[in-house]
Amino acid sequence: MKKFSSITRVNSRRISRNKKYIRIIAVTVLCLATLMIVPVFIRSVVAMVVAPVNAAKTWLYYSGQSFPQYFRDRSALLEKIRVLESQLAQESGNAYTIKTLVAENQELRKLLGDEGEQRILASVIGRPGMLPYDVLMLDRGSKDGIQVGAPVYIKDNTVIGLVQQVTASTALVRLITSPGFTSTVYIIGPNIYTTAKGIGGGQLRVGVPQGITLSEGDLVVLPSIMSGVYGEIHTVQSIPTEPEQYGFVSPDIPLTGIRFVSVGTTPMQSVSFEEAQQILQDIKTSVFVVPVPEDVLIDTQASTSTATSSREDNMVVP
Amino acid sequence: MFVRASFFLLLVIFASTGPVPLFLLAVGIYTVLYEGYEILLLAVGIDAYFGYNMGYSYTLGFGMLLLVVHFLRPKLFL
Repeated sequence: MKKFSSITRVNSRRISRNKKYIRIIAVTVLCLATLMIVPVFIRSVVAMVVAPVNAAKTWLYYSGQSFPQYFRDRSALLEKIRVLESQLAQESGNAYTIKTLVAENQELRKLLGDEGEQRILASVIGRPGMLPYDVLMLDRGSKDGIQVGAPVYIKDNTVIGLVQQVTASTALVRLITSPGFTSTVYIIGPNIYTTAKGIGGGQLRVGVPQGITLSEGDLVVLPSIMSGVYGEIHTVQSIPTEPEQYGFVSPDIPLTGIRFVSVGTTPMQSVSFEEAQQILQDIKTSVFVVPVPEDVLIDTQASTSTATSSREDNMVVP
Repeated sequence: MFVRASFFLLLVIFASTGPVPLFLLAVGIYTVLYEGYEILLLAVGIDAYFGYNMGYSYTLGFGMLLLVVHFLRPKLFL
């Protein structure tokens, strides 16, 4: 009788455990089904939950109120003491600060697109490693004019992604390096169109058949975007027995180092091949043109007039 | 119950602010301690909001984690 009772207890425990397995699988499948059927609803519910967390984060990092500023100022002051001490040690005075500010000013001017289209400056409040997917979170949202589908830039013309979701005060950017993100690119060097795939971690992979010369340093351009330079090929993986060779592309600045980005004011629209060709032509021209000050630049017209005038000025009659 | 709710709230905050390794570690501890289905809801939220049609990795991963923890639980003497 005792043995029977013990066997019954073990069996009942086993049945209960099996039931739990089935329940876990059922709940997972149910969750996946809900995710596939009503993703928009879930997204809006999560946006409501995430909004106060983001608001608190923005308040703590960027607010001008005294409480968060106290903590920021404290850490900023400690940082400044460290910088000043090192500056004193190097006897460099304020030169470093001025240099940093000038560089930051130039960076911000470039980000805002001081030449060409208007853009919205945004700070990055979440990046890969801090967020569960390969996305960036910005501190600007729909109330600042950010729209879904707008391109996101670092530096003056490097496109890194597209706005995929906007709330009133935040925006979520899907990076073109996100796994599975496919884009058409043009490689300046071999001068070919090909497809690039995001592989995560700020890396883009372009695949071309063997026989096409792919070199490190070749510039990769997104012809669907005006001024859409992405970066240059930093590594080429070519195995002679494989039909394809791969180039790995990354922007100059690593994703972890991005503090500011600029967002285009208009969403991207699909472009035809002819339009892409025209954009590409403009990019190819503009990429190799550097704004050189007039007094430094010596071109045919300038050099002729300079040479003529200098010859006239220095002409010595024997 | 209060501790469990607070822990779950902490998971929600970690999910939206990161860092991801800390979040995953916290999810692991939470699952071992409570073995609750609510982490699947959290995973659905992450996949819908941050994933945006990029995959269902968190839902599948957390489902697997629940199964593994449930399988290992008697062996862990918990």
